[in-house]
Amino acid sequence: MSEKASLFWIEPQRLASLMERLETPVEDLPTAGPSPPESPSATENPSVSTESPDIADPLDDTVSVIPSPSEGKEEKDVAPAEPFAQYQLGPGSIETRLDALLSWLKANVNPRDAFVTDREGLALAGATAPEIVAAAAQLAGTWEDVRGVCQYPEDGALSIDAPGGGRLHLLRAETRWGSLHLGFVAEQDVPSSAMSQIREAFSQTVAEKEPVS
Amino acid sequence: MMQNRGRVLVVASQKGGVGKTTIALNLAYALAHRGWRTLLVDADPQGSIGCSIRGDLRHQPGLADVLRGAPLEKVVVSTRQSQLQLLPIGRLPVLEAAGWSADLRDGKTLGGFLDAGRQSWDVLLLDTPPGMGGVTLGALRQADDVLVPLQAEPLAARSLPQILEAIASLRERGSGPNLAGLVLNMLQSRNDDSLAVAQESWRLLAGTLNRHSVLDTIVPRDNVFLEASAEGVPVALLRRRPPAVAAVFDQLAAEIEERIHLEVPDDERKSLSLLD
Repeated sequence: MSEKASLFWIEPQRLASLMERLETPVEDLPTAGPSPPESPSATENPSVSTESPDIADPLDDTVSVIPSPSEGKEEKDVAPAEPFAQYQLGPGSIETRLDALLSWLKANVNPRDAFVTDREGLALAGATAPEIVAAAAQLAGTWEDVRGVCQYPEDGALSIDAPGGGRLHLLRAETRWGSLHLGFVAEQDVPSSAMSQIREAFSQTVAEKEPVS
Repeated sequence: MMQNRGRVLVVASQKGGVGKTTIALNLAYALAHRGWRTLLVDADPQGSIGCSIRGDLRHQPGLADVLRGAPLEKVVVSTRQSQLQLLPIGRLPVLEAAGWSADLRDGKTLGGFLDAGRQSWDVLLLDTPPGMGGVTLGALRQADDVLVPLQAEPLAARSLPQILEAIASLRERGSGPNLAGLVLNMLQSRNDDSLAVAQESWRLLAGTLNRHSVLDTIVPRDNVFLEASAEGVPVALLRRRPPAVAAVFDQLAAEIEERIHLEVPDDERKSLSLLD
């Protein structure tokens, strides 16, 4: 991370590396040939780059989004150690405010990951594990589909067991930029009152009238 | 200009609203105008091409029907431009769209259709839905080339690494297209943020093989596109004297022609005498 991230939100060196991978004609690629089986993992196919931790492998189907049964699961203490600090909507661009929201969330919930994605699953804020973002993107897409066939409550939330432990929570907000999703992985259960506060903070953060700059 | 084997060019982007359909429609028209036998394929389950063209394309058979076995030659739609045919999305119930798209993910079903199409057209240009859904992945797996619109807007710029990563991953797995280029779209020349995206693109996305990955053609944000959309026509057909911005797509077509190596006959490469 020696260079400043660009407008593409990726270090220039990494972007250059990505472009180099695209400049070689397909015919000249060493692995060019028949399609391998669907969704090989990186360990099965060494040619698959694994050096882009901030870009989820868009072809990876191996991310599990299936919630495990709750039977037999150890109940956890639901209350955060301290009461939630009041969220103060700060000034600045949408990027600045999304970062502030995530900082507030981290201070109060101490999530393992926290991020905001658009409806295409693009992470707009938050540095997270790619497989979590990929899982959230799948969930968000399904959520949008569900909304297309029935009136899903605006204040609904999705929660599933996250890969690696904890629960992945997803909140949705309709904004001038389309639907945005706040995702976070909490090691402890989040009480409904806290979830309401998080929702309110998220809604305030993205309720901007002027265009993004 | 018939080739032995047509090229499959996919227009794709991770983000929606970046102008894929506008570029696909107008580029297809421009390629056809330059003499290439062109099939514009609507591979977006929402039928974006059908929604962009005046006429009742939305209820006609199309790609979905062809993939179910309907004969291609009976489904393609002719246009005023004799070299351009359309293949609408076809009859695809809304609730079946997600499953249909998922079924196309491995590219095998699309591959059969595209291989047949290569025999009849010089260019098969596919407009895809946003994101890396099944139909887009399937199309990219079978494509020769991909054109990526880059909306000159900061939020859109952030999605670029994801689509590039997807294409690079496909290529490294042995089934991906060449990057025909990135085309800057909706540039607002009097907006600093929009210009910043353009400048950063030129600065950071330079190619390594003596060519620039960002195409020279820049598509501006222009109300003419709204007019054309409202009329349901390519911008070149908006008026008998096409608006100036229509020329942008002639330039784009010329660039694409080179980038995807369409085989121009030798006698068409020679200069012509002004006085004859």
